[in-house]
Amino acid sequence: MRSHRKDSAQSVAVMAALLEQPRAWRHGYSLAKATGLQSGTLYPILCRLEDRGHLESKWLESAQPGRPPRHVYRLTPSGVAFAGEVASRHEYALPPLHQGGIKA
Amino acid sequence: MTAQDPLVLSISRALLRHATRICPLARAKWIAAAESEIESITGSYELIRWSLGAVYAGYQERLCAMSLDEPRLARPVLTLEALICFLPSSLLWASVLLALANSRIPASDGLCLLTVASIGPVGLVTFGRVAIGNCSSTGRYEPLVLILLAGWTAVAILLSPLTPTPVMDFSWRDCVLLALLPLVGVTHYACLARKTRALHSEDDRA
Repeated sequence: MRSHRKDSAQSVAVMAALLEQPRAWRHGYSLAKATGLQSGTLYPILCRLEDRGHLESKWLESAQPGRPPRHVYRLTPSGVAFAGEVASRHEYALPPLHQGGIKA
Repeated sequence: MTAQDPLVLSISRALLRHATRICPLARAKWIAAAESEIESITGSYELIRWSLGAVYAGYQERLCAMSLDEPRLARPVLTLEALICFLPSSLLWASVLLALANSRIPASDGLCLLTVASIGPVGLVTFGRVAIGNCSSTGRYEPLVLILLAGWTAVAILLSPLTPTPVMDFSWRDCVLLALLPLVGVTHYACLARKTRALHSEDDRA
């Protein structure tokens, strides 16, 4: 039997925000704004999700010249399935998203 | 004041540099990711909060990496622990040896005390080898030997007042320094050795 570790409300919020546009690349700051989480909470969650293979990340050159590249994230196919499962388990109300995804 | 205020930006960058320094290397890219966002954050309060969050995350990761059964603990931490746990017993062992050499105590009492305090030098050398060398140098039987020695020390010290002619009067401070601290050190050593062996067997399987 597969055991489920209890998902924190913050993890569920991050997964729900990512699930809103599952194949779009998202910045850490846009995810923070969408979920209301601070960087100190958000990045460890993103880190764990990537360790488990639910998230992929890359550096994306900024559209504005002179700005440094930004780290972007999106769910992997297994992450989409996992996030869907978690969201349905928690029936989480999606937080309002202030920013959309980024075209890769 | 805007996010582009040089002072706020430099404070923010200094905080993120600190976060990078304290964060374990394996997690450093997450701090770099947080740093890459600062150009996009508007508002000085928001920027400082973001940077403080990265510092918090850095410390959190550092503390996780310092879990007590983590074999890759920082060497200074292990060295300090070895000194705290085994130095008092080592000092007792050395002073008894000196007293024996100068015939200041009876040989039978001296030899008894030497065995009681032997956990000090043995523990210091064994634990120190791991702290200064590396964790893979823990042998199969070393934890068992240390446990037996620490056990004998604890039993001898704690039961000493009950014996008809106690070799030495041990106060409660002596009990902590000579019996409890070596036990703590030995327990931690046994945990490290077990975890190291588990990691090695995982590597072998891989």
